Amino acid sequence: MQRYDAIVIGGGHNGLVHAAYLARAGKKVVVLERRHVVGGATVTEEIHPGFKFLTGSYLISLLRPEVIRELDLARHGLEIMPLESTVAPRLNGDYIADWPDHDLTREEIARHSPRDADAYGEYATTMRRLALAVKPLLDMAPPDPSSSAPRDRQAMALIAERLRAMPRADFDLLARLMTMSAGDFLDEWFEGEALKGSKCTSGIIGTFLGPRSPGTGYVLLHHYIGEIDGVHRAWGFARGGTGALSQAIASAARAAGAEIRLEAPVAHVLIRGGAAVGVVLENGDELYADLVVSNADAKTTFLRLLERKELPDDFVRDIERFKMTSPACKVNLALAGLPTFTAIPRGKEALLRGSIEIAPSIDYVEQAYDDAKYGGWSKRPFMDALIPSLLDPGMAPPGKHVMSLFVQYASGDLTGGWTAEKKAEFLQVVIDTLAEYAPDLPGLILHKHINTPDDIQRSFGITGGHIFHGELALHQIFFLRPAPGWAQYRTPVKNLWMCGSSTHPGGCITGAPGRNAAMAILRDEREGRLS
Amino acid sequence: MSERDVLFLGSSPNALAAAARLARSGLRVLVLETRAAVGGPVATEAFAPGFRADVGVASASLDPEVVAELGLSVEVIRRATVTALGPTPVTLRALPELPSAVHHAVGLLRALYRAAPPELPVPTPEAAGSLGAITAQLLGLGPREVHEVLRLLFMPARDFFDETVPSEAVRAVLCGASMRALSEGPFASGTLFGFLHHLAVDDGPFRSTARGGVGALAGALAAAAQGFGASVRTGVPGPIQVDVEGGVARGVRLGDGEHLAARIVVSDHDARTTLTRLISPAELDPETNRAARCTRYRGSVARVHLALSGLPSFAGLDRDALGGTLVLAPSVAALEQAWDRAKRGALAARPYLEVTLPTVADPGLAPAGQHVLDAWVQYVPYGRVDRAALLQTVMDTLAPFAPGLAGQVLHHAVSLPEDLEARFGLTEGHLYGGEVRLDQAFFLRPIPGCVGYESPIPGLYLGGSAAHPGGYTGRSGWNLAGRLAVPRR
Amino acid sequence: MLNLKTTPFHERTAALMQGNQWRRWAGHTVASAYELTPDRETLAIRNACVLIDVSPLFKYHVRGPGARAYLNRLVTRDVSRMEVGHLTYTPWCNARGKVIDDGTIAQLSDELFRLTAAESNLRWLQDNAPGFQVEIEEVSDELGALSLQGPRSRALLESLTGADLAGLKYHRFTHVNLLGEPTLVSRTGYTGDLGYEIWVPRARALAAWDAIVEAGRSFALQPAGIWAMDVSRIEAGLIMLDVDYTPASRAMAEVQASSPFEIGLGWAVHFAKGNFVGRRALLEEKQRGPALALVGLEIDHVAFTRAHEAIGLTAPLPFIPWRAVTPVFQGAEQVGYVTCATWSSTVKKYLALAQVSPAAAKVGTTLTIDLMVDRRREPFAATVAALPFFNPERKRA
Repeated sequence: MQRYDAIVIGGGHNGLVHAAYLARAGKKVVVLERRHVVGGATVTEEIHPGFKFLTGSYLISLLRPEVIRELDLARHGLEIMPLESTVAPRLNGDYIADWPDHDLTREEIARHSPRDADAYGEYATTMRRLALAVKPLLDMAPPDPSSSAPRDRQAMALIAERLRAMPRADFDLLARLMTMSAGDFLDEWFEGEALKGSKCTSGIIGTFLGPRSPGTGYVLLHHYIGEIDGVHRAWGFARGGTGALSQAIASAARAAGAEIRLEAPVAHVLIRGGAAVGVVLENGDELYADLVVSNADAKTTFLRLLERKELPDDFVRDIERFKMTSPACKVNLALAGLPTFTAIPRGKEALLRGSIEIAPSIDYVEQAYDDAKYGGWSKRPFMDALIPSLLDPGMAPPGKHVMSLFVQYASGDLTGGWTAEKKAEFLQVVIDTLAEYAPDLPGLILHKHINTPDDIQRSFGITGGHIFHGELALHQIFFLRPAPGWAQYRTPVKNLWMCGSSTHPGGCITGAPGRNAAMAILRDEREGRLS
Repeated sequence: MSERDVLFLGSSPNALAAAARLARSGLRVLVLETRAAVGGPVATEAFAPGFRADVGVASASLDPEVVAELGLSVEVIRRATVTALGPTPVTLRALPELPSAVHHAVGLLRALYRAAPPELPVPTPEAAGSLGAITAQLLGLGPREVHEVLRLLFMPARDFFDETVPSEAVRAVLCGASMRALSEGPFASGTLFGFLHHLAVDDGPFRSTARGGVGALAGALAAAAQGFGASVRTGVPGPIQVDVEGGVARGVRLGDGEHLAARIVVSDHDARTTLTRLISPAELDPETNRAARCTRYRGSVARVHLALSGLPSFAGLDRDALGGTLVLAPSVAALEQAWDRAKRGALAARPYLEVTLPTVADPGLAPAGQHVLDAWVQYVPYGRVDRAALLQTVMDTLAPFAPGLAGQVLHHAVSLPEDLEARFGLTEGHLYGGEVRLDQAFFLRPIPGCVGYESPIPGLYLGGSAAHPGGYTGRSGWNLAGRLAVPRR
Repeated sequence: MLNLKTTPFHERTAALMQGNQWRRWAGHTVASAYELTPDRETLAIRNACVLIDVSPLFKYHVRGPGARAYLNRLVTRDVSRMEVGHLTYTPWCNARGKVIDDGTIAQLSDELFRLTAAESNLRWLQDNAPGFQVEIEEVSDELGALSLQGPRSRALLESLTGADLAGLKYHRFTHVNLLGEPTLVSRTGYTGDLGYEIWVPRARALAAWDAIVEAGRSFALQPAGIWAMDVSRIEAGLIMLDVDYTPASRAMAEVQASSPFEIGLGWAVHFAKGNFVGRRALLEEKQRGPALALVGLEIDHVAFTRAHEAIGLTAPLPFIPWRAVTPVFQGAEQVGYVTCATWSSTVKKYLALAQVSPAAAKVGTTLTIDLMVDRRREPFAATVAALPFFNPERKRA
């Protein structure tokens, strides 16, 4: 009989983080991963020989500094290379860029609009200040506002204290930012189309909303938390791709004593007497544990790994209504050489080492959304591109390159479904759009690969292919994520917990759900609340 | 010239309710209106010889407390049916069954609307007290309900009605009512709030008017105010400016140069008008100027009125339905598509329409046997649409359902957002003095930093629909009047 | 290659650079010092004359019938009685009474003023304009600015231009003939000494520099960098943005920002003139009493030197000013902080600018500051002194 203190279903980065923390606390933990490799959507895959593709996530921006430090990830091989720049090329041959250096960025923005250059400094300071105010919320289990339990009251009081300490103007601004659209917010600060286009993207990545939709202001703020933590070098590209991050966390987990089993897909959770006692694998093997923690998304966990009758009706309805329609695809290209972007002038090729964004204006991104929101895809998608081989030559054979493209929007609910034809067609749309900015690109393609929402679902086991395991929409974040009343990593099933991105604070490679869930379990144990 | 206690610039039901309450408590009150009649956008006027209609808002309903306190007597006409026009019309006589959280959320909003918004994040002890009471009430609903209520506040209208209403036609009606006077589509977060707000001010899918039109509500309030001793002057020469001396409001200057002194001036107009036209922006600090410029108006409602030779016949609809509201919203996606067009400065081929035939219940609005058709047309971008094109679009949209309509039109009047702006002094033609949306509601309304109806200029207050809670129920005025701690003479 | 901006005089200053001692100023490359050490440059300010490239200052033209009223509302100081040919130094604040920047206003004509600032203020100036008949134009890149300072500066300028500058009073400007073109010269500077600032359009910058340097041969003119200027401005008790105060627009938290009262600019706040941005907040602060006051400190350099000699070292008195926020104590209690300090050859003292609580600000009060003596930290006396530390007659004569 295989007996553990905790079984973690799913070896995505949160599951690995979770296992590492439990193992460090002395628990006998096993991680059960369906695939032949850990990481979930945080993987590097050699789809085409010699070329390492980032088939899921591609950058690390919000990884909690506590996770990096406490799991000593640097010692386990994590090497984060900060991105040097972001550039948004434009079809008129111009571009707008930004760098970590304030003076350079100021000049660049002033080139487009002197007024915006002034606004930018204040904007950055203001956003950092607001992000600082909400940052602690990322690392806590969301308090339940309806609860009178001391733990919840305490957390609410803490939050209230923080809010009370804010200058009134900041408080008002935060309230507005949380409820308005990224586009409208940017319109209040800036006049330049190019700047606003480039900035609005962090309000919509991973979200099936356009930059003019209320609710995207909050996502913009979420991104700024990464900027603060950037000071701790938590922002950038991991050498070896994001898969290297998963490997580093796995190494830390193993070093702490956790066991990781690959090619061990879980069929369902074993329930006895209304409590979780273990899992059954697809091959029939049974494993037992005091705790079962699912890193899978909420719908997979509750609608596939459990039977309905084991859950309250209300809860099942809540999980069914949890929004998980994916807006995104991931494209990878193996290239014979470096593409030439028409808009990036000679002498500025260093810009290719940073983020390359196809987002010339808010309207462009909004149109991309409008094209897709009724079950279609963007005729001209928004893209967040990276050429990892420029930062890490190991990602491609010498002289050749890989290009990673995060693409929005392409609906997970595509009318007619993601057939092979549709897949090829959209991949071509992506390449054609990119070719408008880099005409020699198509000729350089040695191999092209796309992960549609369907593919992401199949490969990584995420319902609907939603990279954040569920929309970061205002009505399903914080104490409402993934279901009202069940936002503290516990589930209605005794001894069954959740630690993946379907829980607070959601997606974006933070490691926070994994860590927060571990902290919650350990705290419960200390307080005698675990049976 | 003897000084008044309070001067009102504008005469919407909010200003009139405030004037009445203050006059009742013994203050010397004067309401100044540049138009020929009171009411502001709550106006019923002739749009063609012999034909009258509500030429601003299409409905209005007074707050019950205001009605009771002032002893008002108005004959309310409730539009008791809402019919979704379509291949098979669907007539609602009541809201469909919705989760109890909706009703609790509406109750929560009503409670919040009964007082001036608190100063956050550190409320006054008094405000903290009433917030605490409201919170306690909410918590008393039990955990599940608390969560559901909070969830509702932030949801997209589309998502909520998808979850709770089986019929697409009904979903579209309810989404349409949510989006009224809002420049958003139903797919966006926070749009269900529009639905909750409209229910809280009793202006939801089932709208109300009065006998004689909504203007009669204003008339009744004005009479009440005058009954308590307030003076109400219409046809006052404009433009009116607030006299600011030493950074303090001291009264107003009329268009003909006359100065009227007052301890307090209340502007019934929206924040941008007040802070950029009624006073010189030079009186304000730059951050307030920026805030006034940032508040979103984006009037996207046009009004079309038709004088008809007879009652139009709508396929499959009886007189009962014709006396209610007719809604043209084939689907929720169609609303979103109409907004897609409008946000790019174009008119949808089929905009969202709410049509009433007020003469069915109130024949006095037209000559005998003849009728008025009142169309609320939404998603009409400001300054981008041509009147004739709009009229044609409305006629084309209605034609399939009332084929003989075109032949019955004797006169027509089209008011684009810019026309509403010119007629009522509404920034960008927004009928409610600024969109009522989460980021511009409650303590953020009318602009951040101006809580409790105060403006940055001592002695100048912002009342009206631009202020919390928004709408023309008289509530904002009533709250404001309660707040004004003016020493009595 | 990504480069910083260069000033109109860069070709000349680059040729003078011996020690690779460049620095950034407002996104430009400027010299910290040309020579390998800044000593001669520093001394030349008080002994002969120096030429400093101050082009990175931001410059704006404020034009229109409402320009004066606009400026009077913008800044804390009363500028309503300015006349053509006058310059006024003033800070300006946000609505919460925190300093955004400080600079000078010159009245060029009835409806035209030139405003200089340490930071970019375009957006702020534009956002203050509604309600005034005024236009704002940025001319920062179009104008080079040279600061010619020191006891021989007047003689040099007169010799070069033929102008009689004895009548040009302090904080006034005039136009002189420089290479056949009328060129604005103001009797201003950041050194607290006799000196002038010369405002040259970009196209004529290099020619102007050459002409001044050529004429300067007879007056021992020394091109000087920012280190030298820093010493003299500390001697003059003049504050510097980002060193002695954080501009409000960049303050992360309000505690970082400063009111004019806290940085020695209370004298430039004129409540009686009527409404200006920040008036209400500043009035409240005045009534409460400001939390800090700007003071000069004379650090006990004798004790400092002795402490080093006691362990066989010579004292590293700073010839290059240091700028590090350092606590000052009264007894065991921290009462404030030093923002910058320098050895002054002029007054032969170790000088510092500090902000301390008003109770500790009286001239003669002895405070303590910790300084490193080799590898140990030791307390030294810092006595409150009147500002400016150095104020020669010739500055205003």
